[in-house]
Amino acid sequence: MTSVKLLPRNMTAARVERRAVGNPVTTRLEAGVGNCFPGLEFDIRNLDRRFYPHLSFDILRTSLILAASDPDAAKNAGLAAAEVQKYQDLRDDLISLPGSWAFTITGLSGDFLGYGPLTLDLVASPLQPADSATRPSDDWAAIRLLRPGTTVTITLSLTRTVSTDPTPTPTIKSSVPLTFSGPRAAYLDADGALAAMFEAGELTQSLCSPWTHDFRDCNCGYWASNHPDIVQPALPEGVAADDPGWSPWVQWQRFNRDTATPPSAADASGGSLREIDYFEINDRWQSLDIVLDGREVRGAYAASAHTPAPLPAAELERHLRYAAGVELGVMLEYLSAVFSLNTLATDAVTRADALAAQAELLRVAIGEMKHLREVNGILRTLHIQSGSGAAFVPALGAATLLPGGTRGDGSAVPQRPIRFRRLEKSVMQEFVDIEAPSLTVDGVYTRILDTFVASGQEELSAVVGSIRADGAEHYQTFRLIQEWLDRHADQADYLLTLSDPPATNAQHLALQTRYVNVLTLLASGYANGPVTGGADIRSARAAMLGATGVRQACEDVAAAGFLVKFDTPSDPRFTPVAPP
Amino acid sequence: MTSPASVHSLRVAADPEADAFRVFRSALGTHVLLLARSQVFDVSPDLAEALQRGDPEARQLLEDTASTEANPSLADVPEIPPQSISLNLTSACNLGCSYCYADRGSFGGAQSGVMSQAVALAAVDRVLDGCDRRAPVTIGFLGGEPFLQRTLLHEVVAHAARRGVKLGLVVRFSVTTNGTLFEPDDLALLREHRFAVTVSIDGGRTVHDRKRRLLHGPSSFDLIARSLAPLLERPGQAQLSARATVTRDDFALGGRYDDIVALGFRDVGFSPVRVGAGALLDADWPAYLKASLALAERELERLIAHEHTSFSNLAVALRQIHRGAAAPYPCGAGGGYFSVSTRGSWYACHRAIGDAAFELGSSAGLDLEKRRAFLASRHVHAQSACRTCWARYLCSGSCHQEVAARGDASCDFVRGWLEFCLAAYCRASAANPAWFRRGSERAAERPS
Repeated sequence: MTSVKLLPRNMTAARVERRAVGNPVTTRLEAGVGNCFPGLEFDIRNLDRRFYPHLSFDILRTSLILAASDPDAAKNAGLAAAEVQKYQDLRDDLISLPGSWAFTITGLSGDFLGYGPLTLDLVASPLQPADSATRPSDDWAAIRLLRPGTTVTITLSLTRTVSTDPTPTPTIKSSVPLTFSGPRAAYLDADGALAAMFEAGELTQSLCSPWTHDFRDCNCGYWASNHPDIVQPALPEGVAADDPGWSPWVQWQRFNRDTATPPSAADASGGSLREIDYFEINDRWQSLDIVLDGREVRGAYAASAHTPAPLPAAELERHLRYAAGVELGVMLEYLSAVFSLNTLATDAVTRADALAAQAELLRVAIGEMKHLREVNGILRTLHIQSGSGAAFVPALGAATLLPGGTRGDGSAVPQRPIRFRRLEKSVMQEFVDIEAPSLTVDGVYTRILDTFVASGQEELSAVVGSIRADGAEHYQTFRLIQEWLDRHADQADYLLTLSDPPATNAQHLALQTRYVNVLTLLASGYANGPVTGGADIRSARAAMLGATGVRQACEDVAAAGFLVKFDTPSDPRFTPVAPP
Repeated sequence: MTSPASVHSLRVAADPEADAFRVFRSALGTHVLLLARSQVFDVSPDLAEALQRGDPEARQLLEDTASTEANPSLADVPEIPPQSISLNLTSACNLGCSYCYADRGSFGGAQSGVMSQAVALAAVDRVLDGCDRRAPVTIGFLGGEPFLQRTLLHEVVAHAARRGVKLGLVVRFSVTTNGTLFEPDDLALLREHRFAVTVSIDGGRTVHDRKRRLLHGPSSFDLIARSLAPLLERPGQAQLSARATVTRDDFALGGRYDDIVALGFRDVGFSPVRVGAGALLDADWPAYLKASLALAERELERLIAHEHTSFSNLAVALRQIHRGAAAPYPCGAGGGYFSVSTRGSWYACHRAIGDAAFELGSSAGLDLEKRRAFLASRHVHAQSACRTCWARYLCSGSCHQEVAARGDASCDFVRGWLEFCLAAYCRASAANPAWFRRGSERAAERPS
């Protein structure tokens, strides 16, 4: 087979497409950012190599050297026998030609973009930048400017490529100079996909490769696709994948590839370990490890082994109701912190950081409310599926305890009750832990997702998947907030001075009333489902964010010098829910 | 009726030797159909040629996705709760069509009288109470001519709609009718509910009246035209389609199609008679294929020109290929679908009323062992003629009730038709992709 193409046409075929482990997200042509010069996703020179039908050329700035001739393709395209013979002779000659001789393009005529029709003698008057007002500035520019589909005429001559080489003029089948005249090849087919003549890998064949001298210069700023900057180090035999000692991110190009001791973690500046230098990389490129899922792999790859643990039917609902309680609980904690930031600080940088932190934290809090709604949507779907004739009771009790977990370094995050506090540095760290992937909240959903995946509930799996994806985004956001606030050594700079509100404080009481009002509207909206309950949900949203809503009440509490706190409502529908 | 534990517990294995793909050509080039999921890929001519030659490297390339194991659900025997039923309201009809599979509703004497309200409502309740609540339920009406039992039909619709709302179900309706008996309140009923209305009509007046005669009186075509006009003009929620029956003496499909479309139908399909009077004989199938393809080619050009086609045999096939439909059964008979006789017996199929082999229970319950045996024996993997056929998951073995009439000639017709539709799909999807997006939205609305 000279060409293998398999393009999906119908819906089930399109679903087959999947990304191989280790391939960067930019593997597919349409994912490219469109950089037109060598680098990033593909090298556009590899299109121009095939500008003339059934021939391909190596394009140098000052010469165009014939690299291949395809008489079979010429024949399949219906060319006359004599023309096909020219392609055949060229192919035979290319096989027998000594290394110091080549066929080069010595004459080129066609319709050049920006110049119009030209006939160029590349030997008698080589192209040069000085003449760019009237002619393309070099050979490659000339090829690139040929208009697609217009007639191109090329003259091929036998040329000595190394002037000092004594090899005599070889005997060849082709009678040179040899002239071809035909359309400038189309690089794309009618659907906008690459033309069938291009082989798999052809467009990337000249991209930066580990064995090239300057590969070590590829980094996040350029050519990042196939060149990770930092990776998790290859694991020595017997070390578990989640061993905290081997989990830090380290420099991929480090000189010392030893696995006796873990390499030190890279820092924000890229790391301090000595890296393979320009000359060493020519020689030692093969010691750079293959990286899959972010980790160097020296043996056979085994996909990460998550053992699904679906929940028994009886437990699924309890886990979901707890998940809803966790979403509500963390939302309340975030709200309390939102209104502890001093957005009127006198220092401009502090003020800007506090404002940005407040806006982002509020956005995350609103995200948790959306999760609360999604979890209730799942619960309602399961309730309907169960065929129970009873009315659906929404999950609107906050969690009695937020979940704990174990960090990557082995340290524990304990379960803890909901606490209302200013956004102190230690509190911010707790928030980061709450949203960290695979740790606390994320861990709550793991078995729920396993359950839906195991029972083939694709829609519900997708909902849980999106909640988890949001959590990952919240984690990144919190890391950013932490970075902004950590710039200020004294947390008093960006925090308001607040005290606990007395139980009889008017602003505090107004907040409680409005909070219960929101819960009441949600209870009705969630119970009736997205269609009938829509009006209540809209009202609840207004009661959260509107002028007479919870948000305004929070601002009023903070303006009076008190911390935003939420009392546990006495209504049994909002009774706190314990972990399963 | 069925315990959850029995769902998907029975499987009929595929033939491991059967081909997993089919190479075909269209005006666009070469393609491959991977049978297990009806996936269509465009392939380079080299690859197509290598696949046909049996090149191991080329086959290896397809192996991951092409094997029948790639879609294990194809081996499942779906012992699922009934999701749709048809009620045979009466054994009488005001027409006397020569080719009627139901012998005007009496099924050769196997069915008599009319269905009682108690029988109808018991069957409806059985389905509504036991169905999968996430999916829509369909209640259908057949006969005889169901509108001869107009009062019962109205009562059943009202009951099912009311009970559906109470249970939180999406309930849809269907009716197959000769279209001669509509009264104003029938039209209102069809417009107000989601009714799939299939009208049996064979063509223009001459063609239609030749086989579809009123027992007493004048042209039934004139009656239909008059009776249907207000519904065609203002269908409301009803979706109307015309079904034309083809006998071996007249394959002039194009003219018949045009005459039916002229009445205002936007959905016209043809069904050849396979059993009984007028049934196609082996020698007839090539000519019928030729006639079908002539009409299909004409209508394909309309699709490519972004015009509407009413030819539902083509439209349905193209949409199914687009969706990658692949199934081990041609219909829901005995699985999610049952047909209830006037006396209340549940049959796997409305065409088989009175046939003991298809009788699987009553509203009191299904004979689960008999049903299981029926389904296992009707699975496409269990059909010796189908096990290795490349079209097995698109055709799925064809109508159970007509299986005795299946032979090489009629199978060649199905393969020829599908071969055309696959190539037509490639052309149409390239020229008019928007039509398929509309199609998939429509399919998503009507999964039944």
